Amino acid sequence: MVNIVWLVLIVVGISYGFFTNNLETVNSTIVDSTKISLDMLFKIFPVIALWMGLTKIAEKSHLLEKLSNKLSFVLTKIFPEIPKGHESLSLIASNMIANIFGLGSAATPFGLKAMSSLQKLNKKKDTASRSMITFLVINTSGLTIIPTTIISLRMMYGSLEPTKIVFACILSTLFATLGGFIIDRILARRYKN
Amino acid sequence: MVVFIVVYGFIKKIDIYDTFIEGVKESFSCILNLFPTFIAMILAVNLFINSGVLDFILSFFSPLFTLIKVPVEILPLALVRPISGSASLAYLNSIFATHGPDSFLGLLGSVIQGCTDTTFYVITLYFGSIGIKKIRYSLFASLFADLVGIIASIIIVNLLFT
Repeated sequence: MVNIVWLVLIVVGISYGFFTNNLETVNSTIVDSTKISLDMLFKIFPVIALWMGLTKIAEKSHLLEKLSNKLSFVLTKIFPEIPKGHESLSLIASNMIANIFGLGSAATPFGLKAMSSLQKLNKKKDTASRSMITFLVINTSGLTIIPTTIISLRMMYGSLEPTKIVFACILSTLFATLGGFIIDRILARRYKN
Repeated sequence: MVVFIVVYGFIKKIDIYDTFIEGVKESFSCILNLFPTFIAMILAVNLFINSGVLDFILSFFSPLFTLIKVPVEILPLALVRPISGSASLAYLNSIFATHGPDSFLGLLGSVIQGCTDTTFYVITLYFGSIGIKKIRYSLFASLFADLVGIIASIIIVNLLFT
């Protein structure tokens, strides 16, 4: 999938530049893009480093674990197929909590662990199970309450109110997650047979 | 929140300083993993944008967008958001640089960036890690959630900030 997207972007981009006599821009774009990516990486590096340090503390002090216990009631409703007390539930909870606090980099390791734990319950190993898809849809739709990356980017560009967007973000994420959740339920029923 | 985490760790008798350092060290491998994807995606997306293809496509959509009072400049961000988080972040960067973070475009861009995650990346990563090949309806459901989120962002930002 990624292969096709990448190919289309590059081939269409270059050939359009060729036919509109714009090859000079195409060339400079190729050369500059590595420099641009490195610049951007240096900009976000400090933010990631700081948050990974802090999450490590939250993880080791069992703060994440404590918060996930509070979520487990809701989770058994969302994932009816997972047996109660299964390890995947607390991993999913940790992933969600990290997501909610905008710690994307911390959420990923938990998400991967949760997936491999769900795989143990899965009967067909090459096919995604229903709980896996529900978990994935919830993850792709965000869940972020505090979008730390965006707030820091806004600060960098001298925003007067960097956190002004937080409420709007929460609302729209809620809609996205809800929409994803509903379509997931509908499709899960349809694909059952 | 920073204070809370650090104090909580201290109360629980964690070696907070060393733990923090350990976490920061892990960020190096995270950044190293990001670098190749960054280069690949920025190269492709920049080629697509700078060669003028995007403007060409956008010119078809612009009447529709002015009709519903949404600036056309936001369209590439909405299109790129599910494909590449870093590319859409780069695009948000350029919106902030040209229009400012507190402009209507800046606000709308921030909310769209914040409302969903990078669908393609998450699917590749999560299903790839456990060897799932048949992803069934997951891509469709995720993209549907993204669409709902983007439409919701446009409506919400219009209601709250204008």
